[in-house]
Amino acid sequence: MNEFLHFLRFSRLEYMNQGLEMSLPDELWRWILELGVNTSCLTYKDLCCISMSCRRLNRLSKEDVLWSKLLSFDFPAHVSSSTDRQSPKSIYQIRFEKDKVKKLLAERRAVLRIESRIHEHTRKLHEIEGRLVDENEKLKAAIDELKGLRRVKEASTALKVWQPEIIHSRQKQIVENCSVPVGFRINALEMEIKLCKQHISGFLRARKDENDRLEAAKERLSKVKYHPLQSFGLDDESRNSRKSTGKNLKRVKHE
Amino acid sequence: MAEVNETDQTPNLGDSTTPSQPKPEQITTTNVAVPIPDVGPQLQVVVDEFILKNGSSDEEVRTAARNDLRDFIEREEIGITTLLVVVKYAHEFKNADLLDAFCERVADLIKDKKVVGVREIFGIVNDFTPEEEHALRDEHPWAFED
Repeated sequence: MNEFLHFLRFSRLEYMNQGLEMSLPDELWRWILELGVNTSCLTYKDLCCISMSCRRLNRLSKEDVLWSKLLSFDFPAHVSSSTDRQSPKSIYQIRFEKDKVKKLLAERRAVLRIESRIHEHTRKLHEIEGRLVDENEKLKAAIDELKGLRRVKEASTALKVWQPEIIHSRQKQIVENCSVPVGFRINALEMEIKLCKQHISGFLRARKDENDRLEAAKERLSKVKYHPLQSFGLDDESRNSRKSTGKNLKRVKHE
Repeated sequence: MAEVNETDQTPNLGDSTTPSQPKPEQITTTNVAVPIPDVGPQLQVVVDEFILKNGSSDEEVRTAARNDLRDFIEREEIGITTLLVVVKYAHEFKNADLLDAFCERVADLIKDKKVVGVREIFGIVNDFTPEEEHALRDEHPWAFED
């Protein structure tokens, strides 16, 4: 009964759109697969999928020609010895897995390196922040003192003119309470304030720079950690975009 | 109708520099013939044009012809049935370039598909036993780890 149905199925090949692969002889399938591999249209992934579709294609997609070609494309550094008793497909798998491990380790090293830089930048930022705080406090103190001294100066000037007694005595008090040489100290404070402001703007620049570096490092880290699909070297998105833009990127056999 | 002369037909596999290749002005429609039954007249016309241009000695004309054919196939989304028909006939008439153009398209359709997708394209019947399928999947995880 099964055989009958089998026969029925294949005699209505094109009408049923079933078992179309049977309409091609092995030779043509080989041609399609080889062409696909040679033009970098079909990858190891595609061949593996094909090999799982049915027995016949399993046999055809395992062939050495195909996998030797893939090896020469994807792992050209591999030197095949004549004593290689394994099939090219197995060799490919081994190389693939080794390569994956290598990549993983390299990635891990890169991640650690960047993470330590991030740590360093963060530490420096913290330091700069601290300095900014200190300098701002210094500035504030100087400004306050300057304000006070200016009041003293005003008072001493005002004393030279006639004032009502209440005001006069208050001003006298202000002047007498000041124990520092006013003129001298005002100059010193003004210079200090200028310096503080310079320092502060310097720290602000440094903070921005360090922050930029920190952000850049974080960006690098996120890029290293992000993997799109891990096919060899390329992800599927970029391969699809290659398809639409890069017919010239295909390795065409006889051009 | 004039006979179709075998030697004047489309170039043999990979052999585009044979001295017997007809000069462009000698190619007439009777020399160019890969009559393909079961495909629409539109495709037949495009194929014929391709063969004609592909026989040119001008590299640019040939490249343009290949690109045109490729674009046509893609644009019109020629079905798999038709593609396979042309593949077989191109093979029979030993037209390597025509064969390649259509085989490339078939490969393109297979590419990036999962197993189920591949089966769907051709209506492939899964003739593996469940155990065999399981074994196959165990054999190939390396290809699918993302």
